[in-house]
Amino acid sequence: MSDASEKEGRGVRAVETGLSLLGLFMNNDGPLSAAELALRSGLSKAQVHAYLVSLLRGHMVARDPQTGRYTIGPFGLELGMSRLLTMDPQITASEEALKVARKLG
Amino acid sequence: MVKSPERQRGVQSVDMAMRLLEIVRKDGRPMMLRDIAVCAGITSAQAHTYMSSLKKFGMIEQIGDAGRYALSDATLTLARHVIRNDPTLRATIETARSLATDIEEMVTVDCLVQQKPTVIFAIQGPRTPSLSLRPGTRNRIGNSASARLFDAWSDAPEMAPSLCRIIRTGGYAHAEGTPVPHLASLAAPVFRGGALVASISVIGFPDAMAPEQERPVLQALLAATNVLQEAPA
Repeated sequence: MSDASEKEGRGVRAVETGLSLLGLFMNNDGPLSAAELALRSGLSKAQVHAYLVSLLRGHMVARDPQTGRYTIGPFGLELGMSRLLTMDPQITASEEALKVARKLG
Repeated sequence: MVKSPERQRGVQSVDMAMRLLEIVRKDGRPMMLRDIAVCAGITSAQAHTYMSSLKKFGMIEQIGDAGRYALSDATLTLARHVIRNDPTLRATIETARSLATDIEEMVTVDCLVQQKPTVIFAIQGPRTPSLSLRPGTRNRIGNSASARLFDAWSDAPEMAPSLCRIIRTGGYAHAEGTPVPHLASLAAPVFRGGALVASISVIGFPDAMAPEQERPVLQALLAATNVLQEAPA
């Protein structure tokens, strides 16, 4: 058994790899296929598949049943909406909140 | 046949990272590390490692002297991406924008976020007082026409069956004295593949929002949402 710090180190790397896959979606207009994700991330198709399983499970990524391509899922929308709601315009700069809210359109 | 993600092996730490995001999201207030760890059933040291990664990608930020954890701006980018890449939501927002220009009232777009009608887009009207309705605001049946609309089309409505029937037959919902006492709202549904995915609401003074077919606001609202139904997917 490996020691705790080594395990955590791996955990972080995997989380960051998962998050960088989300970044690939951000930098792309429209959905991506698993093959495109593999190509752009440099991960193997099997690795991409494993990450997609977890991201789909958390609804962070959604799969279009028609095309089989992937995009950001409903959890992404939920997180952003919760973030907007917790930005109190009285406390944080209200200008900033409105700017962000407008950008969402 | 593709196996559902629930039954496949994924990446455990990615599952945990999303669980931590959901814990912070659900709480709604900046959280202490140890509370997050307790909720997730991991040690504070483990939670710290995860939060550092989430912070690095702008999903989480630390606030105040106590360094409490809260959702950060990258989550807004995610939400914007979801809205932009959803043709129905994008078209609905465009329609709401031109409707607001035409009728000069406050217009919002709601969709279900975690099963609750949530404002994803809002334009203030020139005549009505500035309201606290903004993207992220959640509507309840008691306080808005859009919440009534979503309830009427839900699998287990809270409202009486007779009220649901009126809304579904009429194709719109009306609420008065809400979201603030001297205002009223009208909401009409936007469907995709037969399912209700969003609503457009108009909020203003009660006389303009009267639920009578010949009234210009209701007519404009129904005309706008009808165009959306006919638009190709």
